[in-house]
Amino acid sequence: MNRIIKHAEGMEPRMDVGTARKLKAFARGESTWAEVEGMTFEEAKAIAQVGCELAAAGRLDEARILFEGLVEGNPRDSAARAALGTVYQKLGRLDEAVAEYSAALARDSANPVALANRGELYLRKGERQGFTDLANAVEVDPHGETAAGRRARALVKAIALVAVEQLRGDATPSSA
Amino acid sequence: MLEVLKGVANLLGGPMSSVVDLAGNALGLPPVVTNAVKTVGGVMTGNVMMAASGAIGVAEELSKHPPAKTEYRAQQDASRACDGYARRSAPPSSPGSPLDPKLLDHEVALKTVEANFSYLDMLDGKKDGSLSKADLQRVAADRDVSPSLRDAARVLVSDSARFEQWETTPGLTGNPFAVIASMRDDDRITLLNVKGALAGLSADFAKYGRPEKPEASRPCPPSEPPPKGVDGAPSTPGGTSGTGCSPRPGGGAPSSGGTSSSGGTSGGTSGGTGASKDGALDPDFEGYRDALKVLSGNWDTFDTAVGRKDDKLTMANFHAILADKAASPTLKRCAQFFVDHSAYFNRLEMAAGIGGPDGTASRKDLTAALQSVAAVPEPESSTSSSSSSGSGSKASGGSSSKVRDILDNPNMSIEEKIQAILMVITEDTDDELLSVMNDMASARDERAKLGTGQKDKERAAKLDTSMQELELRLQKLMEKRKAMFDLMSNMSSKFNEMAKTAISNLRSA
Repeated sequence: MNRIIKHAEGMEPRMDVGTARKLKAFARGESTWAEVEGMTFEEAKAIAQVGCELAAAGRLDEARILFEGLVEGNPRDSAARAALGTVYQKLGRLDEAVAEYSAALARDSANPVALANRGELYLRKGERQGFTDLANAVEVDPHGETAAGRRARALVKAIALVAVEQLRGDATPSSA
Repeated sequence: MLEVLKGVANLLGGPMSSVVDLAGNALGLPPVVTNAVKTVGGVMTGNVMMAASGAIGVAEELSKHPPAKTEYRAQQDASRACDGYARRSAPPSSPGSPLDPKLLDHEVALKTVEANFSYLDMLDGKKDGSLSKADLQRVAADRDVSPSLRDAARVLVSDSARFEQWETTPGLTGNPFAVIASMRDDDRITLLNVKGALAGLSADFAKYGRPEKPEASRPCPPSEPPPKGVDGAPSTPGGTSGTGCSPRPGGGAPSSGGTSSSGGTSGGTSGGTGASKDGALDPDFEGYRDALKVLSGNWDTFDTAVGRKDDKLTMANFHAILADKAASPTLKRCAQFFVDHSAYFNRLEMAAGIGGPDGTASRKDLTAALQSVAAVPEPESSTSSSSSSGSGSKASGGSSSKVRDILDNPNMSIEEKIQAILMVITEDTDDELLSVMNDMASARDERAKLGTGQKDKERAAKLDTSMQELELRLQKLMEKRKAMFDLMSNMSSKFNEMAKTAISNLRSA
């Protein structure tokens, strides 16, 4: 049978042992495509940096493509998943955003970005889990090193004020 | 929000803490959050206006930090953060300095100890002007002491060889008795020792260059340097639109204070990789690698150079080899390297981490040093030209630096550079030829001395085999030399032709 793709004479297709081994590992689900491609954490961070900047500039679709690529390359990267969640959230794809945050938290339960944003989304839906997420976000980022952590802190303060007001409202009729 | 605050302010006549606790419990908030709210309440109890500003502050804070801000916050555990990404196989880039990067930790530790010497001295209840190793070990494990002091003590005691070096370092003072006292090997370190050690370190850094801590640019174990600034620069608290990636606290450069060194050196060079900032190897490091190889192959010759065989090498052995007219150029080059680069000899003698810096290298040190340099890949640049001869042998460290010098020389034309490089390679071939002939002569002498016993016959058979190998190597080297000359000759004539053509073209133009 003739080959569909023909190679020039003396140019037999060759794959080095390392690549073949990586591909096999990928096929077995033991390694990620990022590992097959040889993408390092540094490169991923550099790409993520661009994605963050695109998202900040409002170029959400481009940011989404970048983060989706990162997540596809390495689904174990909880930071990329959380970042993708934020992009989905801004795009109004809230269910997908929650899914990404949850996936990120499944791998890294101390990711403040995923905690804070999922908490806020849950609260919007009226789910009590949101309080826990926000409180956990404040706990894992006590110094407000991330914007998400700072927002979580502000939200918790606001919620607590509202709760105090609510309690006062509840207490007034009973005392009267 | 002001409505909310008014209600809160009215409520403040009652026990605020209990209200907040109640609210915290009702909301399922953890104590840390409840306490934060209590603080808000505390502010509000003092002043209604202040309370208002607090509520407005929360509102402002919320508007400052919009929801779903895209951030890339990597996991704090570097190994987990790198999970799923490829690891770089290349060694971490480090500066051209041959000094051990761990010396940076020692410098910090010594400075900390210097600044807190009186305090540390008093920790055992008496002030005797010195710190024993036991004192430092106690400080390293003492939770009441500040972390920086603990780290400093741990760094100093974790490397016994280097501690020995520091404790015998003479201090800088006008009192000769104090200097002599400070040099005592009594497992105690004085302030003079510390100052002397710091001065010595500064001098070493000035001489050899400051080493760069590999961990400083490596979040990914074992060898992945991160780009600085991406994960290290905190996003602005102001929260302007679009910060980059979030910071990772402590993700930058963890001090390897607790790590034990594989051995200290008086020059402070053990463990350095010898790789330069741009990833190219330090030419001296290549020389070191080659010198180690020569040393490994001719250990007995070096060992017996001073007239006795003690399985130890000192500088005297190298000087003896240099003075020996019968020694081959390869051996002399190796000896000259260590004589010229005492820092590398220090590195060799402490490679196994056994004993102190006593100026004596053992075979174990050599083995450890060879393993250490084997971890650093050999550069390919200097081998490209020699591979043209077909032998695949690489130029030695000395010649590689020469080649680099030639390549970097702005005053030479490309033709001159090629010819000069070929000359360097030819010189190496000549040296190798002489070395092979020397080995042949040694083998022949040994063969002549053998008797007729069984062992002698076996040895003779081995010598015959090695002689054949040497002859083959000699033949190949001769061919290589001839090929080199032919190449040089051809190139010379080609250059000549090119020049002529260019001149005639210019003339006709």
